[in-house]
Amino acid sequence: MTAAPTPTLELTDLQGGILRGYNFPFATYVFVRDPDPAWVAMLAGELTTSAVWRTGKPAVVTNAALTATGLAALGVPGDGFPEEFCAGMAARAERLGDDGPSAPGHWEPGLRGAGEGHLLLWVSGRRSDAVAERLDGLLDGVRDEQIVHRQDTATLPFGREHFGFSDGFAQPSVFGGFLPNRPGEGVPQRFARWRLLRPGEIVLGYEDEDGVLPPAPPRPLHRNATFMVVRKLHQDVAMWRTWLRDAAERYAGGDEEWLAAKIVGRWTDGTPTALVPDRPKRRTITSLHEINAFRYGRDPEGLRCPVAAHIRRTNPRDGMAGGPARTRRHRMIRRGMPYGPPLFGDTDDGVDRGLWFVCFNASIARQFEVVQGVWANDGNVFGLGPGNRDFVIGGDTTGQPFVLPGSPPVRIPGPERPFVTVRGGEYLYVPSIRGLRAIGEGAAA
Amino acid sequence: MSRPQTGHSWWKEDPRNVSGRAHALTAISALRPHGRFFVRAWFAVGRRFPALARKLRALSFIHAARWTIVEDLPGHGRLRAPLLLFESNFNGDWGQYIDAFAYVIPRRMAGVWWTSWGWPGARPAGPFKAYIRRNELVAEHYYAAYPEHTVTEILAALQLKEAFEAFQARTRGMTPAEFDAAWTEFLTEVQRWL
Amino acid sequence: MALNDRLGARLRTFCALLPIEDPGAVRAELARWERGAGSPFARVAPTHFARMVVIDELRRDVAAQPDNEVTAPYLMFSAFFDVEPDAYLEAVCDAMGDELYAVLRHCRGCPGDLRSRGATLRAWLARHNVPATQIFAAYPDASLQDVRDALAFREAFRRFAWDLESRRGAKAAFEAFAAGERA
Repeated sequence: MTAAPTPTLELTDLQGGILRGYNFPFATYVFVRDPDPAWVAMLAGELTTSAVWRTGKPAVVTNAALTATGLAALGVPGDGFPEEFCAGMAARAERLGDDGPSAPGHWEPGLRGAGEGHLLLWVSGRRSDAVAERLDGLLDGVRDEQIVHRQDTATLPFGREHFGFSDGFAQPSVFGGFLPNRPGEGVPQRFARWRLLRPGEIVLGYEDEDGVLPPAPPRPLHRNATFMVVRKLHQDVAMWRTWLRDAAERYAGGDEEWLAAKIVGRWTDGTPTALVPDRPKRRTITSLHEINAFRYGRDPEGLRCPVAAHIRRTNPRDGMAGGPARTRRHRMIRRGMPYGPPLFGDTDDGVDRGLWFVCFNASIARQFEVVQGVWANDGNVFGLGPGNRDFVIGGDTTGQPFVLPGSPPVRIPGPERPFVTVRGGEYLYVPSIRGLRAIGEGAAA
Repeated sequence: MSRPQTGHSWWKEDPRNVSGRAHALTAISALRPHGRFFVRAWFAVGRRFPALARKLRALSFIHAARWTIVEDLPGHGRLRAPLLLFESNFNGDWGQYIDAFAYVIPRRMAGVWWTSWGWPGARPAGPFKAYIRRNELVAEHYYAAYPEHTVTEILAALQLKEAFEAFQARTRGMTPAEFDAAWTEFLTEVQRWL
Repeated sequence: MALNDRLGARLRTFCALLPIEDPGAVRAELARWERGAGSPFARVAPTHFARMVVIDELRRDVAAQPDNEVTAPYLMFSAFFDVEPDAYLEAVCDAMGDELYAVLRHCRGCPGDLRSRGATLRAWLARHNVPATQIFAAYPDASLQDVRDALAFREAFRRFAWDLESRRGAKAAFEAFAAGERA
């Protein structure tokens, strides 16, 4: 299909940090209950937009989103909002594979996936004190008991996440966002080309990959808005390191780096195994122009990048039967950050750490829920068998083996506890600037 | 009600259409007069050139499906506009199923349904899904003999068994040392079916 | 009488459209049938898939079309199996004749005689068959037993194959496994 011309996005009305990441080292997320409508209207004026910065990057940026209960509390009717959003993440546990230790019954207060929080306010910045100061200023007038959850996040050294992997650089580039069309980020085309993703896959009110406007709530909430998923993913770093060391010793000749790369689909520095399947000569690919420039079509057996590898399961590119046509409607933009201090060594210290997962998409059911609930939670579409889960994020992977393709294949027994446990999450609607103002002023009721 | 009870959600399925991992889809459309010739011709071409079904087969989520052109209804006589009755047994949710058709084999879908009244085209997928939904029926009773097993599993199992039997025949006279090498090779060959 | 297109496969289909006198009663009876492994069809050995659908109105789609031609309700009884259709109908009437009759007696023209219902019911069903125009089957040559055997075999083989990785004496172990499978 040829790309139809798309109107430029109204960047001054769309909140920032969605199409382009801020790349700040600190961010704090606060869930507020029963926000005062006047305060909400005031907040609209404090939000950072996605307009291109002309005078340099600000020191702190601010964004806000609302849960379904939050919209209801502010008098916005629920019609026109998608069912999964209104139901909340906890109600979708079966679809998402949130069972066992990841079941909503274990989730943290304020983050239980049923909209205890009404408004999510998040501030990102260069320095943690500046972030805290800005938040305090914004929350002036909000009583302590209205704050149901607060989450500080901060990048780790070298831009890694807690298992040691470089993360966050593989994002879909979207038309109209003044973003470069880097190979591998958009939709695979013929002759090794890639094109930008249609904006309607992420931003409501613009054409999506189907060539139509995505379903959206009624005016004035229909445009320059998106849906957001936040998910607190606790990472058992000690378990990961111990398991990796033992498994590598028994099955990979002691090469932990290699085994980890096969499981994730990238080496820890981000080099994709699809391009560099083994590393006798330490070849490294970290340039943003090359790091995503690969496909899986020539590797159907998974000898370079295993079919069960994490990044292959969560973004199959052209690797599904039917090719990229089947995957381009299930992309999402991820803006999560690690939380908690790094762990040194492989003994658990009881400190909570992991990934504060954040993603933006036009349809939670079609995008996030398919990636998490269908691709990561069930391997059948990849020929891995029904019920086979993503080895890293597939919830309760206790005892599930990882099969390394090869000559011969090797089956590695799984961990005794899952590496990643869900500790909470919410589905949110990210209004446009005008939209949030209208909500606060009662004009969206 | 024969219409699926799914509320506002286009992707939800009526639970009566689901048995384990097996899903039933039953849809009826009415054909314009020339449809009876065209649709039959379309299928005949498909049978003559089985490679045309390659993409459909690769999708691997349909156990079995059937199209029936109904010209006479018992008790009613000959229909002015014939009906096209479609039934499918598939894995994976409804939304994924229709998406796959709309995005991967839109021309084949169009070939079957373009002579049906109301057909909006296979792309964009939104109106196509709505069309199927409108013309869809729910099964008062649906039975699947192996509901927990998916098409990919069954295909893998059948191929594995066949490969195993061939391997057995091949290695009958081998020494243990020869066998070890052959076994590694065999395991490598069948790993995708394990 | 050709009950369906053969197309070179073992898989066969049958589809009957039966005019209904009392759709409410048909639905009520079908609702009584157990689902899953307790379904009446589970007793009919060659059945891969089967469905009973009430078509209460043959509603045409919107926009510029002839008026609804048919407003009477129909029952669609359709199945996929791997024996000859005649043999299948016989198996159905033998194994689930009671349940089936309880539903079909609300259809117009259903043979009312309970005692001889076997043969007359089969003949009546066969008369209401609509032949298939096209069939698609992912594994057209596999019977139900083939499918079950292959699935069971795969389970056993996986356990065996992974175990063997760590042992010597592969050939002997393999032969023992193969012998076990043949038994």
